Amino acid sequence: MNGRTPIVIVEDDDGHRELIVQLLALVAPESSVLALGAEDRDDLANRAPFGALVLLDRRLGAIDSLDLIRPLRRARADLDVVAMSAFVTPEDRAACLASGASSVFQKPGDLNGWRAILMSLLDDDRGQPRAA
Amino acid sequence: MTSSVSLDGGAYADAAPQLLDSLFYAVSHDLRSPLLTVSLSAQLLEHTLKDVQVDGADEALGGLRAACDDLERMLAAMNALSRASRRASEAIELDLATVHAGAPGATIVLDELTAAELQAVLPATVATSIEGTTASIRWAADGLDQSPLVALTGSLQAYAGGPVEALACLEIAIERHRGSLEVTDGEIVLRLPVTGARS
Repeated sequence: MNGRTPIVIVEDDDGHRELIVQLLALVAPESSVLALGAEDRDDLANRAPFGALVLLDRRLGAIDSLDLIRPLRRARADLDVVAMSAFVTPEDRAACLASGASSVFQKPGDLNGWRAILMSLLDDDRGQPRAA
Repeated sequence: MTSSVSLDGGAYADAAPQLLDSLFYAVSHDLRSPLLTVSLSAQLLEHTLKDVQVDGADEALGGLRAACDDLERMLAAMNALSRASRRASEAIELDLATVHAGAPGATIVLDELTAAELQAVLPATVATSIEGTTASIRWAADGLDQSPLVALTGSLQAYAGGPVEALACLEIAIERHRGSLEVTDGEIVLRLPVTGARS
């Protein structure tokens, strides 16, 4: 994972999705970003670029996206699926990891928190993070 | 083909606790995303305006920040209530002294997390007793005159994020272990079933 890794955001809240895109433009300006809504969830395996980091909202409207992770990983082993949620309890974390998510994070309420999480995800092979 | 579900009075009463819990879970999760959008947008705006003088901007952004913090606090309380009724709750036998050092020797059944939360909220001075198969722990209610859960659900604004929230979550967790936590005559009264007592 690095600053050029393609990123897919799957988030049902339009405003939040747009904000994450803006933040990614600051943190990883060289990454291509595909922003999808809840209605695109069943097409995710076809649309995600090879080797993408998929940031998947835990709740997509009335759907619990936990059930999407395992089939997605089975269809696309090249994808790295990271679950994000409004609140993450230890039980939620365990359930997401058991379903095949590589990590789970609670959506931060501040920009610095978002920057730190996005940089750590993109810097997973521990190169230098890009300056925001 | 269509189907419909009708809930008569009895069915509704049976389903109400689950519906309430689902509502807490859904509302706390669903409202936090738009809340974060407002909060993060305000921060982006603040960043954009940092070198620009705009009359009233600081006050407006400060008001937005305060409102977002307040909403965040109340949504976190709803999520905490939901978690208290959903979380794994594997019961183990514990000495009552685990939750309060001054308690008489008795064995109670609780999960470890609830025991730790109980230990955290109990003040240094409590009155404890064992009557039959029930251990009681009493302490001053400090102005609280109703069940913590009733108080919190009645006013998130007043109680979210404070000691009443912690007690309300405990009230739920303890009832899952067949105990109770209530407020009577200016005291909080915690009752736990005892599986064994030592003299």
